[in-house]
Amino acid sequence: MASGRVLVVDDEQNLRKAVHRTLTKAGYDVIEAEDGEKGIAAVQAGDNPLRLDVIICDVHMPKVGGKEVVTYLKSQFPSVPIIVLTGDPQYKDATDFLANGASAYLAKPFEPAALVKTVAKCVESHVFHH
Amino acid sequence: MHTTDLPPEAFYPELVTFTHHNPNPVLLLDAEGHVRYLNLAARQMQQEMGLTDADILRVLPANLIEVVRQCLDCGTQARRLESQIQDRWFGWSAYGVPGGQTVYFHGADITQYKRVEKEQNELRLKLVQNDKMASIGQLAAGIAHEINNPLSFVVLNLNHIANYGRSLLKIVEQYDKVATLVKGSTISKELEAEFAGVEDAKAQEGLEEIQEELPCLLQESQDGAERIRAIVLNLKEFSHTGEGAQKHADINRCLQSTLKIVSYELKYKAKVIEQYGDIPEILCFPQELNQVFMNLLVNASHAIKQNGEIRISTARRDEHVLIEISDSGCGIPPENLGRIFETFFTTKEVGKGTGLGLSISSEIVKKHQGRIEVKSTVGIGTTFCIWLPIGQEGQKVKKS
Repeated sequence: MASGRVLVVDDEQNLRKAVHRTLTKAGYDVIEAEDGEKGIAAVQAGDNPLRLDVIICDVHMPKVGGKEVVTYLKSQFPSVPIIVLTGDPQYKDATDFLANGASAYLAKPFEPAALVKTVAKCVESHVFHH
Repeated sequence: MHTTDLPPEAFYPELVTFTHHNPNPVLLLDAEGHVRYLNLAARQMQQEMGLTDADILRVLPANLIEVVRQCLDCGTQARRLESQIQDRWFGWSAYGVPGGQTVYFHGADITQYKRVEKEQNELRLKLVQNDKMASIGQLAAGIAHEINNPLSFVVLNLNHIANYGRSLLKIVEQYDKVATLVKGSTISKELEAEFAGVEDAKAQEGLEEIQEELPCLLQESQDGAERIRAIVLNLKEFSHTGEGAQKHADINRCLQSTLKIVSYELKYKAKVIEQYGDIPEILCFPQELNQVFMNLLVNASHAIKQNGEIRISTARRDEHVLIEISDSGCGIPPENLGRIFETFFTTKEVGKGTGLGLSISSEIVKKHQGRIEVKSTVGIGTTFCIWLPIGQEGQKVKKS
């Protein structure tokens, strides 16, 4: 069973829950947040604030744009890999996100297996970097 | 007396000369509509157009007699009359001579003006059409994005539901084995009643049916979600915004995604046969080509009444990719075959065809330095061939 701590930032509650459930089943600890700021508050409020292995983040949210969120999260957690979720598979900025610090992206809708695999890869790389 | 106050009769020879040598055609008609006089320009026009004296009236407006009557009866003038003959347009003014029995027609060749007007109209309609396509594209991309959000958790949740369902069925099966064992031994009356209750509940709730159908229902729902995903993806591929840029695209994929968009239109009318050849990617405007493919497929479907066949094939022919779209529909009569790419030419009923589809398609193909050809036999069907040059990338592919 895999292990690691994952922060899921998405304004869509049902999606957060679905991702949460999928990753919990795969063995991860999951923290949910509806936006970047709340995500950081949630991470720091936990028992072990320093440990975060992956951030999963939607890039189409009402309040803050995806780029800002990625930049912000990257500034707060420079070493933590970020997986970008996009509703547009041909999103022209997807490659920009990768260039700007995101480690991977998943096009909605994604299969649970793809989610788990992507998270596992990122956790591995994170552990490896440490 | 001021010279300007003199009556026109005072300038008898000058005004006649002016009329006779006027560069615009002037005709004088009597009350019956017979030509009594032509000036030099009208004569020249008659010769240029090869019209006999009897034919000369054809250059005048079609409602000629009516105009003549009106001018004579009411002494009115008629302006801005138009006539068309042999690809030339004329604008006419008619003047009844007061108290007389003749009417003057004074004309001007407005062919050039008409051509510009027509071009402007076509341009305007094309702009409207392009605008419409762009709006549809934006709308489609927006809707696709909105659908993908809820679809994401539907897909994830369906997966969990499927797993949970399988687990529940497994547990019930396991329990059944135990229950059978226990029932085989000596048990109390109360327990026996409990088991009977369980059996009742099983029958009432239809456990057998649930066991049988649950996996199918879940599979069908997952297939459905997958289909929604494919439709959304195709919708996006079909009309992607932020386009305008050329890119390398696989024509087979373009055809497949366009076909999915129009399959709802086609599937009740025709069997679609797809024969995709081994072709290189080409540098093109994919969604514009998609528009061409969609036009051809929708036309194919309109040509078929029922139980038809639509065949789509691609192949490499030297330095070109050849795309063929054939239908077993009604065919195009030879007299129309030369006109189908004309703007506004349509044989479809009002409201169904704009006469723009094929003209836009032909322009898009031209923009790709390609060509579009048509072969058709009435009652047998129609085949459209699109030839697109492979270009540099293709040549590289060929060399390596």
